[in-house]
Amino acid sequence: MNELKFLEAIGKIDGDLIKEADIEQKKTFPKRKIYAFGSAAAVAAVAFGSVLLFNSYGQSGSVVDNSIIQPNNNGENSHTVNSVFPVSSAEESKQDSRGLNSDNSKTENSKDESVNDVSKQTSTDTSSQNISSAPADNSIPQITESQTEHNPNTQSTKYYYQPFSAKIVPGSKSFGGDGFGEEELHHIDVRTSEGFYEQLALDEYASNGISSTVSKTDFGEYIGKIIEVDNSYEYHGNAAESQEPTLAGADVYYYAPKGNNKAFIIVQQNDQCSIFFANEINTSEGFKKGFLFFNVQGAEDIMSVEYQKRIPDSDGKMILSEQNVITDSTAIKDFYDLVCQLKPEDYSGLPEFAATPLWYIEAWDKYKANPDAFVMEDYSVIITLKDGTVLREIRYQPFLANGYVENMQELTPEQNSTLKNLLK
Amino acid sequence: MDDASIIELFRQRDETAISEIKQKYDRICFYIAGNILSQREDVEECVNSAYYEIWNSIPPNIPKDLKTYLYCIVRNIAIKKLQYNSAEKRNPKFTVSIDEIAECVPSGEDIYDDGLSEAISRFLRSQSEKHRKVFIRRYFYGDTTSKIAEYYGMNEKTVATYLFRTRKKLKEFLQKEGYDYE
Repeated sequence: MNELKFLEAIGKIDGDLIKEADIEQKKTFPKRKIYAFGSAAAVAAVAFGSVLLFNSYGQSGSVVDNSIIQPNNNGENSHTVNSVFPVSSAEESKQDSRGLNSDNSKTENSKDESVNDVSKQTSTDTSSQNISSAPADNSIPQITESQTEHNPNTQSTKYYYQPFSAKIVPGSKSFGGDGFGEEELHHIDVRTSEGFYEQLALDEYASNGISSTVSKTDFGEYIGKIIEVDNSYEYHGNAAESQEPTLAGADVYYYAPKGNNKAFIIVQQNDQCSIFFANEINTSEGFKKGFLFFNVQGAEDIMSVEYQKRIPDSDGKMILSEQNVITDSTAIKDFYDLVCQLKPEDYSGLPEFAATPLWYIEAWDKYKANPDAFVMEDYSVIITLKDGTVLREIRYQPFLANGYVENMQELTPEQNSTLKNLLK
Repeated sequence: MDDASIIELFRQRDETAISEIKQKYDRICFYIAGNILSQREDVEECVNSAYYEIWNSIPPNIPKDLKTYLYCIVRNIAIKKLQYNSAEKRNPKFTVSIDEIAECVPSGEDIYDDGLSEAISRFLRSQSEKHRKVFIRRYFYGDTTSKIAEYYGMNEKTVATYLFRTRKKLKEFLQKEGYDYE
């Protein structure tokens, strides 16, 4: 099975990448599996504990929990097990015989329900039909079809914000694109000629400067109706398209409060609306053009530049060592001017069957051959605009060759030095 | 005991190296293997095989990072066991759905050499730290999306989105590197 071979190949990636993602495991008892339970010591301890417990129960007439088992002598993992002891049927029904907490099942949409809009009431089951019910207030004038078709700039209190539910079948490849794993939560996206937009969760509206209630002024320039395609990650040339079948026929508009910032769109279907967002700056033609998508005409449109610097700890794991938000306008201007100077990587000049610039590969090889000779620093830069839009995670690694900014050609020594000094 | 001392015990062929490494890493080894294999017996066998393999490989190998070295051994044994179980239709289980990763898998049988792993490493280095970590937690460590969300304080849907984006980009990257997709 090639998939398993591929997973095997993933098992052979560079060790520092594996280490970077390592997480200190908490000392919790695995809920579904009991490991190394068959040792004689554990069995004896359970039997001993049961006797003690029985005696306790018999003497007091009440339930006593004497079930903690001490670790065995060689320091192997200890396991906490509740002995089974006589209880009333009511008590028994509350208890797992292993004394473990029951695993509370989660609904898939627990986060999406956190922002409440008094005008919305919907089902939140991602596997169910997308249901929209009318809000409580029925005093709004009826809206005619012609008004809603391409211009819902009417009294729109019947509209409400609620993310659309996905209907793509788990594990299905019938749509030609991504096959979702059964447990993988479905997400919905829309592509236009301008970008690839992902649905924003309601609890992210506020942080992106989006109101939780629909107002008529939210609907900006009309983009088009969504055409269903097999894969919304690749562009098929429609004004608006999506692989999610339930969105077929929905109307798409730019989100007017953001002005010429094209990163936000509203998708409207019947009374239900949802905001979709393109938050990755496309630097394939440079930062200046990438910024224009978000209507950043100059440094004056940027509110802050936040950076997080990570360095390896003694075990080699990357830890956050420094974090700062730059709000000084001069510093922001210097940052803007510098990144706009950077040249985008020219992938067309690469040899056939190469996706990575040679200088980048050689820089990493040099580092891996002698890591002690380098000061490894990994910067994540987050830019917040004055209209509230947050552009995420531009990467900067000053230690690679003369400096690496994601998707850009190698920096010059002067650019590297200036950028590093700016991010302090 | 620190890793350097444990490695020294291996070098001296001192069998207490095994008990030391078990004491330190048994839990995580069972965790990794348990994410891949469903049967307790298989998990135990996998972890014990890993200790046997590490005993036989150190020396001559002297890993710079004992923990990661051990993780890779455990995981690879578990994947091989899963392949065996899948072939024999014996309770295959991996928290990661095979369909999920299928679109990234290049076609061809003779491509699964170190070159592919190196390409994947290069790709991952070009991703943001969070995207990279989420990807590795999912496809190396075998964590569920809910577990990843819990580890990184993320919304579960965001985890799914990160995985989706990274898989797409990985496929594009591997295509550019010359891997075929039917």
